[in-house]
Amino acid sequence: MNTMTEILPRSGFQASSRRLARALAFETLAEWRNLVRMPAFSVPTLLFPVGFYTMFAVVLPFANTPEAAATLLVNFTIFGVFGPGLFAFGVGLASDRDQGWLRLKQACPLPVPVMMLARTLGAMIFALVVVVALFAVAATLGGVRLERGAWALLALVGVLAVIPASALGLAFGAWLNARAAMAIVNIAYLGSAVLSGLWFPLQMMPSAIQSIAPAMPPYHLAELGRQAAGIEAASPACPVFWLLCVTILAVALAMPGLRRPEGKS
Amino acid sequence: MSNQPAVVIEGLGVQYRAVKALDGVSLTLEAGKLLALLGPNGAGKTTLLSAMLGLVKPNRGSLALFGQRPGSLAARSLTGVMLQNSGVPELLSVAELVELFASYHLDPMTPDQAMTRAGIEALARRRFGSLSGGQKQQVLFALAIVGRPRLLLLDEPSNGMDLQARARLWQTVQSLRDAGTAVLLTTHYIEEADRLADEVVLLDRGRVLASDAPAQIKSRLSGSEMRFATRLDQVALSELLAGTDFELSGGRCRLLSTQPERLLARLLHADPDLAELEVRPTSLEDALSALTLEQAA
Amino acid sequence: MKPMITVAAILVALALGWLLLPVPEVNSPAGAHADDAVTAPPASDFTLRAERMFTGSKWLIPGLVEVRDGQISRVGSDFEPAADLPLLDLGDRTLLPGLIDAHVHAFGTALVDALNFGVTTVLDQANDSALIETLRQAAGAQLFASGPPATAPGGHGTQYGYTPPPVTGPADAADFARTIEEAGSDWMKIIIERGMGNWRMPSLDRDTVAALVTAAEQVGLKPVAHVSELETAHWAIAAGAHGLVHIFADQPADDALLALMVADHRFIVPTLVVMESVAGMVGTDIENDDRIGPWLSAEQRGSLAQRWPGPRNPVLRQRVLENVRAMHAAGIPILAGSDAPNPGTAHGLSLHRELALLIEAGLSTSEALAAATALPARHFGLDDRGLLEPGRRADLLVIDGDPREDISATLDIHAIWQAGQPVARVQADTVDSAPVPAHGRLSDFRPEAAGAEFGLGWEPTDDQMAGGNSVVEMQSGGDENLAWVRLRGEIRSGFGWPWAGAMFSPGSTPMTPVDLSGFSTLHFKARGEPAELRVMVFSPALGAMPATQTVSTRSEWQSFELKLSGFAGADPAAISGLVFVAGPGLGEFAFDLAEVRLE
Repeated sequence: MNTMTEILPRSGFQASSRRLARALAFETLAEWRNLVRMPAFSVPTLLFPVGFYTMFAVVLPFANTPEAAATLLVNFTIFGVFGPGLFAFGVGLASDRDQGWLRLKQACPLPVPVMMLARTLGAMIFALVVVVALFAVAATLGGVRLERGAWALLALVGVLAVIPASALGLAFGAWLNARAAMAIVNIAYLGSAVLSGLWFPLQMMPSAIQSIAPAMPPYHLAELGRQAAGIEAASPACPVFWLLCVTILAVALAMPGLRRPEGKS
Repeated sequence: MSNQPAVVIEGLGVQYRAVKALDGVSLTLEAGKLLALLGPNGAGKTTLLSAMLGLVKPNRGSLALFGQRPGSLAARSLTGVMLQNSGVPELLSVAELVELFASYHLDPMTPDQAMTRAGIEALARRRFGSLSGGQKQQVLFALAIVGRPRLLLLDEPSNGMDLQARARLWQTVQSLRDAGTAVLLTTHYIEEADRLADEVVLLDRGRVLASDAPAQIKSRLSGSEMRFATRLDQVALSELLAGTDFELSGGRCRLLSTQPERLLARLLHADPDLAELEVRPTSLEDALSALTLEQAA
Repeated sequence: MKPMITVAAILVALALGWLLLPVPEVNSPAGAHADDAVTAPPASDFTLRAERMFTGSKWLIPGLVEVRDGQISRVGSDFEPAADLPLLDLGDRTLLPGLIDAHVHAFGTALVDALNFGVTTVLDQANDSALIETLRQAAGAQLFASGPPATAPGGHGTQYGYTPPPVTGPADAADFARTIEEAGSDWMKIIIERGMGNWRMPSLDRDTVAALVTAAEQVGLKPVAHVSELETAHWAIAAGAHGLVHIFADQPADDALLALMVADHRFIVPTLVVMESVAGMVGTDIENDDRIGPWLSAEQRGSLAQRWPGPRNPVLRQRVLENVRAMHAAGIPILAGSDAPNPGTAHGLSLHRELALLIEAGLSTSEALAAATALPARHFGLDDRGLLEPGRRADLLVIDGDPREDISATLDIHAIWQAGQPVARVQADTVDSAPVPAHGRLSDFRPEAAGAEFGLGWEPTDDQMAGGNSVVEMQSGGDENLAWVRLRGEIRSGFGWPWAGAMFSPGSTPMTPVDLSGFSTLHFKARGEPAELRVMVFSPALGAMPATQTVSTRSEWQSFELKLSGFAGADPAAISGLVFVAGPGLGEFAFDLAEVRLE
């Protein structure tokens, strides 16, 4: 809560962390409702990962070892959780801005960071739903067996993956109009998933793609996911550091876009 | 702080590239007063509102809401806003929206109170996207008042509302003003301004043309337009109509006056052949253009 | 209050769901014949203490290794064992890194066989990409591989049932490198083999070798070369190959080659054990060494029992030893590799023989052990293994005794760990002792009968188990006179020697050999559109490759009689399978079988 109190002006207004918490809760709830009630958002972001995972892991017998089964789950978990943050910010923010909703919110006594945080939390709740759905398929049909702690860690990685995804979405949403954002964010989402080896093993890809992959955030998320699932033993420091850098860079890129003057520039 | 005016604007200038959207605007709004901002489209009303919300940065002059910088959290927490063309998430219900906005404030009304005062209690469970234009305006009004603002900024609030909704709106605005809220509204409807406002500010091309009590403004604006054909020349007419502006071209004259009967008596005396006489009340547009003419002269 | 309850209910549901998620079952030993004598070593996190330890580069006496999460976390002689970890005192034993065989060709049970002899990693020097891809997922020693070799059309390396991407000249080099790199190769194997004496075969020329080396470097693969002559060794080293994967035997190594290899830090995998076998002097004694026999699989027995053609050639054996001695003396890194499963060698086992031969060629025990651990790891870029040092994989081998006194002590295997997980050694399958009925009937295809008179019986078989695409369907049919089984399907390309048909397993478990020496002929009736029907016999003596006889069928029933002795190389006292299949010609097929019996 420290950062929020700092934003409050010294004079007159009494900051109430209780009020901020309440505003955050309602704002998050509203974001979540807005996401689930939008079929254009909720259907692809929930059904795509679950559907593709079911296809690759259950219908097609690609996972013939426990490690391969777990790797598939990790890949589609990352694919699944990368969408909500990316779209909530990339498309959601752009269309809120286009429609004037953002303008009205900016006139309300709601600190902008709280607004952004609420949007991230809403996407996180959605990501958690995707994770739960994927885990249910993985545990029943996918034959995935993980240590109890590994399930929890993988879910945690899935939920936290929303942070870099949101930051990247913010960078898109801050600069694009809604129409362009819809197209570009979709390309970025599917493209980065394929290029990161989430759909097909990187070993099957041309070497050019294999060398691009480490530049894709989902690639590092998948690495963290594999570590969480206990498939790969390595230090999480490197992917975490990389993702932090991406997050900070994306937010820095977004800032001037968010501050740009009124409406259509 | 309690005696501090809600809004103090001095010499405000806003420039978009080469266009001067606001040019030296000054006005003051006290607590418990209602100020109506009148002016044709493009006069700068929306820009002025945006500046008050901190959404537009002025190039010149100063602007303070309760002594606070516009756009600061302190200023925002004291202000309720209703903007034109606010695209509200269509998938949220009315009650959810009002509840959400209530949560932003320290001491809000209950969502039910706000909805009742905006006249939308029957719409509580409806999704915003399913409402008519006027109903949407009412919801936006509820969002503006739910935080018990000490300053209410309303941009064309009655647009699209039916008569009943409009009456409810003005009733609520009046009661809020009576309870000490400062209200600033922009409108096209001069009668609304006349009935409600403590002060009317006329804005045109970024400048304040007039700022006065509604009765005074009205007297300057209300009047009649006279058109007639005459053989009198420019000099004769100037003498006859001393103090009144007129246009003469090709033996046809057009003028605006608050005392058409008296002028008519003088004209008929001087030119018994005066013909094609028309006398009709002026519109707001005419009045404003008259004022604009005055200023230009 | 109500939202709080909702949130709490969701959290409780999530926690319950979490508790329902499945966790892995505790690993049970994979084989049915896990050795009970080896006390189950502790899993994943533990400290080991042994009288002697060779880290891959030096000896520590005593030696302590701490393993956490499958990795070595501490190594030393005298550190205080962590209180939270179990300490296993191995006593008067020797702790080594898991062995690495730098030259194998993995088929069938190769990986499990290798691991069973303490070889935790194998480097495959030429194989089909598809098979490699399958084996990478398989249990056993971890596999790294060159994938298909670069060789001339029709040259050495093309006789193994798959077609390496063509290399007809320098112009093909770049495409070849890209192709194998995309197929997942870990390095590039270049075969320069012109044959010997009167036996000549097409080979890559010098320019093509140079182009291949350059192309390999461009795609980031290390080029290594198969050579059998001093001259071609010169080609390879001059072109910049990182290493040679055989010692040559035609001439003594000359000073120019030694100087060049030393200067460029090139290595050699001499594969002395296969050279010894080529010289007709196989040195591995199976029958009289109870450290070996009980642990051999059918495939290992099979490849060991096979022989190269030609007489004993002690000169050849001496020359390869001398060449390795010269290279070692010059300071060229020597890596241990077996070239299993070539005739006279076996996966896993033959690497132990290679160690003895390397010592015979002048390496110290430590150098020989490093040749099978640290050096292959270093030269093939496997930085995660090969040495006992913190951060590397806990691939560990514990042997009784001291290899410095007798290198064959490496066969006295006490325990094996792979990435910190204990490996249960698997005892060999023995010949099934269940009596075979004297009537010798293999089929009773009447619907009400179980299908066979003894053994596991009949089942459809196709090459999908080897990575192919052929399909087959088995259906019984018949009238009052004759019951038969109908096999119909399609032979499709995918595997080198495609097949599909039916298999009879005489043993009570798949591929368990049975003594059929009481019979001399195989009788059966068959019909089918004019077609070649292949009858194959599997026997451990043959290794993975069966012996085959072919018959032609017509659309009417016909009786056939095949002498068991006609299945060259099969041991009638140990037959593990009889197979009736179509192929290798591609296309649809259908044939019926009836009254199969032995007499």
